[in-house]
Amino acid sequence: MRPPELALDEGAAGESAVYGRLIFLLATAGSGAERLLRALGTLPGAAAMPAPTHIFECGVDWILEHWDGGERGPAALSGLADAQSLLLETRRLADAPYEAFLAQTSADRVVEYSPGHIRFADEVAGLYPDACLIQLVRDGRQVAARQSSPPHESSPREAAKRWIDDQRLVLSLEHPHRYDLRTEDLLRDPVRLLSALVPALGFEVDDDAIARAAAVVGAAPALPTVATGRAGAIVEIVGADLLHHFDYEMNTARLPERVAAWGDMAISANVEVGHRLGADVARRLRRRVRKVRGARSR
Amino acid sequence: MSEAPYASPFEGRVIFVLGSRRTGTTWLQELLLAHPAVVTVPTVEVEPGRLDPSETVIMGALEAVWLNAHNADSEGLPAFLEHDEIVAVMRRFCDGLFARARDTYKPSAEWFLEKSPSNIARLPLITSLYPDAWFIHVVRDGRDAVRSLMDSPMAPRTVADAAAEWVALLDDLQRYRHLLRRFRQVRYEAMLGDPVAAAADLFQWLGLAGSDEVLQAVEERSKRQVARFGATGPIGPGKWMQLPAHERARVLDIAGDWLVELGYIDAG
Repeated sequence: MRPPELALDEGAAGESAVYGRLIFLLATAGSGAERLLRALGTLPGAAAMPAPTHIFECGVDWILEHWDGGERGPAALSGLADAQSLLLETRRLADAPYEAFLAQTSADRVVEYSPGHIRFADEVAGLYPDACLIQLVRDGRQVAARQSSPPHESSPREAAKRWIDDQRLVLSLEHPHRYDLRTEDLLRDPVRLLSALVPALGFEVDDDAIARAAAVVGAAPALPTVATGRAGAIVEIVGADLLHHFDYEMNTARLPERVAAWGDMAISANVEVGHRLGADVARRLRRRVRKVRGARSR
Repeated sequence: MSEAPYASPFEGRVIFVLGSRRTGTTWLQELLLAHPAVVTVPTVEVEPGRLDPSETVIMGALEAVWLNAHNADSEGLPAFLEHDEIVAVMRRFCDGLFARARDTYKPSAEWFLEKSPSNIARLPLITSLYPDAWFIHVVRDGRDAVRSLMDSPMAPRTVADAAAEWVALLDDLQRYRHLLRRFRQVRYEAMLGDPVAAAADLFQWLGLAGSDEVLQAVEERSKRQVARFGATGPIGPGKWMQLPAHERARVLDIAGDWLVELGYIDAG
């Protein structure tokens, strides 16, 4: 179990060597975040991390999950230190790749995108109250459709759920430096979008710098639109509020897709109930067998 | 020359107590804590007189970072840090938390003792972070360990599972033994026979002065009932005979080789 409060004190965060220097891009895989990463990396004083660190989905989250043993007993990190101390030590550990990268470059700010980080956006926000968080949103129907097509292995339901959970988590965050923008808007008019975003991130740059960054976005080919199918229909049904929030056109799924989506969700709900029921019956049976065996051996 | 991955405040002063569950590792920890220089997370008094172990599982918490450190896709931590640097960062993390625990529980202590049962399976990670540590392995008759585990609240599903767990950790220890530069193995049954002598021997090996005062404290602590999880019967070896015959046979099937190897039964 994680600490009940994930927020590292701003004062403690101030001890960090990368205090106020990080920009995290939070986007579900397949949202086009790599384009924004490259664009921001061209800004004077900024550098884009050339590879994802995966430090939250493969590091920080597992540490924080060991804060308390919960029902398993007192075995946990909470015996060693208070929550703020754990958050501070974890922040120091997470800082290491960013600190090393900044030392290798002459940059003052670093931009990073790890596709899995959005799933742990609350941990990113909690450990880095001083960082800038940019949520990049692409139409969830497109994202879910792509993530449930080869070579990706997610089912339509999983892919839709991923996009919905990701966006909901980021929207629930209270963070002083959180920004969101739509991929479609960025690609349509990168100059206008970047002209608004870049100063908000704390960069003081001229129009030429914006134009260079916009050119990086514009130079990439447009993202193709695919048939959204069942995955898209699930997003429309379950994540309608999100599509509305981000101002996407609604009710685009055709009737057969909606029927298939409802069928998918109904079956998966029944399977989950069945699994839970089966596990419970098996547990009771095992307990009974042990009791009988014990009684017989006595 | 420094043996630790960086200038650690605990260089050469971390003790890992290793052993399967229900082999007396918590009790040994209690004995070693009699020394004023040694600190760890204390046992938890869940009710008067009942002390349950409190394990940090810190090495388990670092497993994902360790996995990240071995990313072979030119991503993750190795894309930005050398392996030695990653190890140093992880050690700093542990030392930082150990230091906070020391400051809370025994500020004058200079040594930290870490004990979590599954640490044996994590020895490649532990020895990378703490090549300068001292490792003490507690070994107990596997049949007694299995019986005790099956009587505890964290009993596995079957006796076979419990025996397999005991065997698996011994297999792991054998596999990773070459990584342990400072290693001692102690028998639970011998500790039980003379806990003061066992502790004194370990203090001497660790280079810690075992004064009369310390040994008296060991004697007092040896009487504490730790990690019994509600059991009330007498403490002692040989209680495996209470297991039903078919379960004893099952344990022998699975753990027989190790029981012979460790001298708990004859090969015949």
